[in-house]
Amino acid sequence: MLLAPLALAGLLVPLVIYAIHWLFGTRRIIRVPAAFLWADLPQVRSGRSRRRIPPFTWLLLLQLAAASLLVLALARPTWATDAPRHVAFIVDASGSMQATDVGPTRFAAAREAALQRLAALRATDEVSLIRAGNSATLVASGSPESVKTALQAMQPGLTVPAIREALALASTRIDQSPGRSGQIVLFTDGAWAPPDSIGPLSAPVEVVPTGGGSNNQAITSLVVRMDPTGLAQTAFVEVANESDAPARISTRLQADGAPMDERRLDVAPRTRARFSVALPTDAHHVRVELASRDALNLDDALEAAAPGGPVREIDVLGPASDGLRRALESVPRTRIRTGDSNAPADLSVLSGILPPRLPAGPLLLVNPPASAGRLLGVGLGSGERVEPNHPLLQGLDLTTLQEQAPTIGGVPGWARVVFGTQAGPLIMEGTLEGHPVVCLTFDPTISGLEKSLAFPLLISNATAFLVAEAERGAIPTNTEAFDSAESDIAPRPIPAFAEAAPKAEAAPGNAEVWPWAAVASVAVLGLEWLVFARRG
Amino acid sequence: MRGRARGGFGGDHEARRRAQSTDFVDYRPYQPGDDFRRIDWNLYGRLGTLEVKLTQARERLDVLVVLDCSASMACGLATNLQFAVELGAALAYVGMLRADSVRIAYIGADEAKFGPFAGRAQLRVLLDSLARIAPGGAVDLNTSLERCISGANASGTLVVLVSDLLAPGGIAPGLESLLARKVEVAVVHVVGEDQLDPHFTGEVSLVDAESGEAIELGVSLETLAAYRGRFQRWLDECQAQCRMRGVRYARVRSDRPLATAMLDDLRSAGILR
Repeated sequence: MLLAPLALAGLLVPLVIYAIHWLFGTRRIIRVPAAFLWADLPQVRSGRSRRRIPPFTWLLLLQLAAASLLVLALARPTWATDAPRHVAFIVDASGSMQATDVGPTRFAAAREAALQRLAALRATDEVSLIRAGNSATLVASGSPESVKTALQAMQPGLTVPAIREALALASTRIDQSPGRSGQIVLFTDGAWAPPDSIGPLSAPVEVVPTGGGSNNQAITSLVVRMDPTGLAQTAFVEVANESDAPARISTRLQADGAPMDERRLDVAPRTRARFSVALPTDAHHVRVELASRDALNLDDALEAAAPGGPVREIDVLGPASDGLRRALESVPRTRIRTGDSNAPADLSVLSGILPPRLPAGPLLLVNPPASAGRLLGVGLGSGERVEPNHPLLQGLDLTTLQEQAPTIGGVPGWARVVFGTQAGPLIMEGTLEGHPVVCLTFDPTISGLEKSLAFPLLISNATAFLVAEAERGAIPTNTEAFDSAESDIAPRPIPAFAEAAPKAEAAPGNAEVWPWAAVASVAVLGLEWLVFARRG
Repeated sequence: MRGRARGGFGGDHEARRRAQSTDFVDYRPYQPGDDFRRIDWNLYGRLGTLEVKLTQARERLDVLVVLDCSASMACGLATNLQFAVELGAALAYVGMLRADSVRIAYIGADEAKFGPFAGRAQLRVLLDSLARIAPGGAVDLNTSLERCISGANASGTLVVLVSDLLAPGGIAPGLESLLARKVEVAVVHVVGEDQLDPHFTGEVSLVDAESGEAIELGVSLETLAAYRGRFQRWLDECQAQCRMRGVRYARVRSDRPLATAMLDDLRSAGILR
C-alpha cells in the first residue's frame, strides 16, 4: 500500500533521464595516438547517428534505478503487519508443578516453554506475566525482553493454583490494552479441579500442558496423641495412593531419630490407608517418610511434635476461669507454675489481658481485650474461614465452635485465621512481636464452651501446637504450607474458557519501508558515481 | 654505439680506411714509395723479406638522435615522449662517453637541432636542451625525416630515430630518403601500454591526437580483440620495412624501465654494443 500515491508521478523522472540520454547523450571522448588503427573495426554500433536509442549502459541503469527508488521512497510504501499483541502468560506455580515426571520438574519445563514463547514475540508486543500460586500475582509486565528476567526467576509454590483469579487478572490486563489483540497462554499441568465459574474472558486461552502422570503416593496425616492416662502415646499415620494403579507403599517412622516402625502397605488406586504406631511417652519428635520414590517429593515425609517428652511448665496470667485451669491441668505432661520463677515458662496463658510487655515464649491468648491495639483488624473481610486440617482443629466438633461470639470483627495483620465466622475470627494463630501466639477471641465461660468436651481438646491442641512451634523456632506465617490436595498430580480435564464478545478487530500495523528505499537510492547513486569516476 | 666512424680521428670507432696508429692490422710486401720507417726489421731478420706494418686508426662517430615530438607521442597514460626523451639522453650520453659527436634533433610542431656535443662536460648542456622539448602538432614523419638531415654532409652519420612511427602510410619513404643520404639508420620504436592493450568499452569517440579526426565507435570486447590483432600486424610491418632496408630496429615499451630498453632491447637489436 502506498501512503502518498501521488508521488508516483515522479516516475516521469526516469523517463526524463532516458530522454536526456537519448537527446543529449554524449559519447566518451578518448584521445588515441592514431585513429587510423581503429578504423573499420567490428563494433557494437556504428555510432554514425547522434540521436539513437541509447544503449543500456551501467551508468544509465544505475541512474534509472536511483530515480525509481527515490520516487518509491516518496510514495511511502508500506506493508501490512500483524497488530501488536498483548499476551498474558499464566504460569501454574502450584505444588504439583514440582513433580519430576518431566525433567527436571514440571515447573521448569513450563518455564522453559514460556521462555520459548516469549522469544517468539516481537519487541512491540506487550506481555503480562502472572504467577498462579496461592494467589494470582502480576509478576511483571512490559516488553518481552523486560519480562524475561522475572520469568527466569519465578519459583513454584506449595499450594493449589489460583487459576480462576489468574485468568481474571489476565483478562483485566488485556482489557487495559484495547489497541492490541489479546491472548492468554496458560502453562499448567492441569492438576487442579476446574474452578466453579469463570466468566467470559477478554481473550482466547491457550493451554500449554506439561507433565501428565499420576504416579504419586503421599503421607497425608501424622498425629501423635497422648493416652488419657499419660502413660503412652500413639502416632496415627495416614498414607494415600494418588496413582491410578495399585501401589505398595513402604513407610519408615522415627521418634527422636530412632527407628520405631517400618511397614509395607498395599494400597488400591485413589484410596488411603491408615495405621497407628505406639510410641514411648518420652518420644517428642516424630517423623514418618516414604521409602519408595515417586514423582512428587514434597508429600513424602511429615514431622510432628509429640505431646510426650519432658513436662512443660505453664504460666497462667490474668483472671483465668476454673474451666480454663482444669483444661490446662488435663493436658498430659504439663504443669501450671504456682510460685514466682525467673525462668521463662514453656507456655504463657493470658486470660482476659494483653499487657504492653509480653512474657517470653509462646502465648495462648484467651478472650483478650478487644480494645487492644494489637488486635486491631487490618484490611477487608471478617475472617470467615475454616481450615479443617489445621492442628488446632484436630478432633474438634466445629459446630460447637460456630456458636461462639467473637470479641473482634477484623483480622489483625500478624494473625492467620484458623476458624472464623461472619461475625469475626474465633481462632487465630501467628507471630506477635516474635512470640508464637494462638488467640481464642471469645469468652468460653459465657457460651458454656469450657464445660463441654471440646474445650479441653482445643486447649490441648493449642498447647501442643504452641510448644511444637516454639521448639521449631517460629510460626512461619508468611510461608506457604504444602496443601495436601496437591498430592494428586494427575491432570484433570481442562474446562472450556469462554471468550467475551470479540472486541473490535485490532487494526493491523503498517510498516513503512520508505527509509529503506531512500537508503537504497543513495547507495545506488554512490555506485553510479563510482562507475562514472572509474569510467573517466 | 655500433657503427663505422666518419667524424674524424680520436674516437672509439674503427676507421674505414687504414691510417697511422698503434692498432696493428696486417703486413704487406714493401713497395717503392712506402715509408720505410714502417718496415718491420725484425721480420726482415727472420724471413729476409721486406714487410710493411699496416695499422688502422680510431675515429669519432657522428650520431644524430632524432626525437619524434609529435602530439601522438604525448598521448596516453605513460607518455611515449617522456620515455623517448630519456632514451635519447641515454643514447647521447653513451655516445659522448665514447667521444662521439652527438647531435639532437627533434621533429614536431617546431623542429630544432642541438649540438654537436662531445665529451661528458657537455652533458649538462645536452640535458638542458632536452628539457626544453615540448610536444605538439601534427607531424608528417617522412617529410620531417628527410628534412632533419638536409643541407649537411651527413654521409656516414648514424641516425637514431626514436619515434612511435605512427604515419598512416608507413615510414618507408622517410627511411628511403635517409638511406639515400648514405647515413646509417637505427629505429627505436616506442610503444605504450595503452596502445598495446587498451581498456575501454562502450560508446566512445576516438580522437586522433595529431589530426583531431574523430571516430565514433561502439567498442566491445570483440572490437578490442580486432584492434590488438591489427596493432600487432602493424608493428610487424614496421619491423619488416626496417629489416628490408638494412635498418636496425628495436621495439621498446614506454611502461618498462629505461634500463631494460637500453640493456636488453637495444642490445638485442644491435644498436648498442
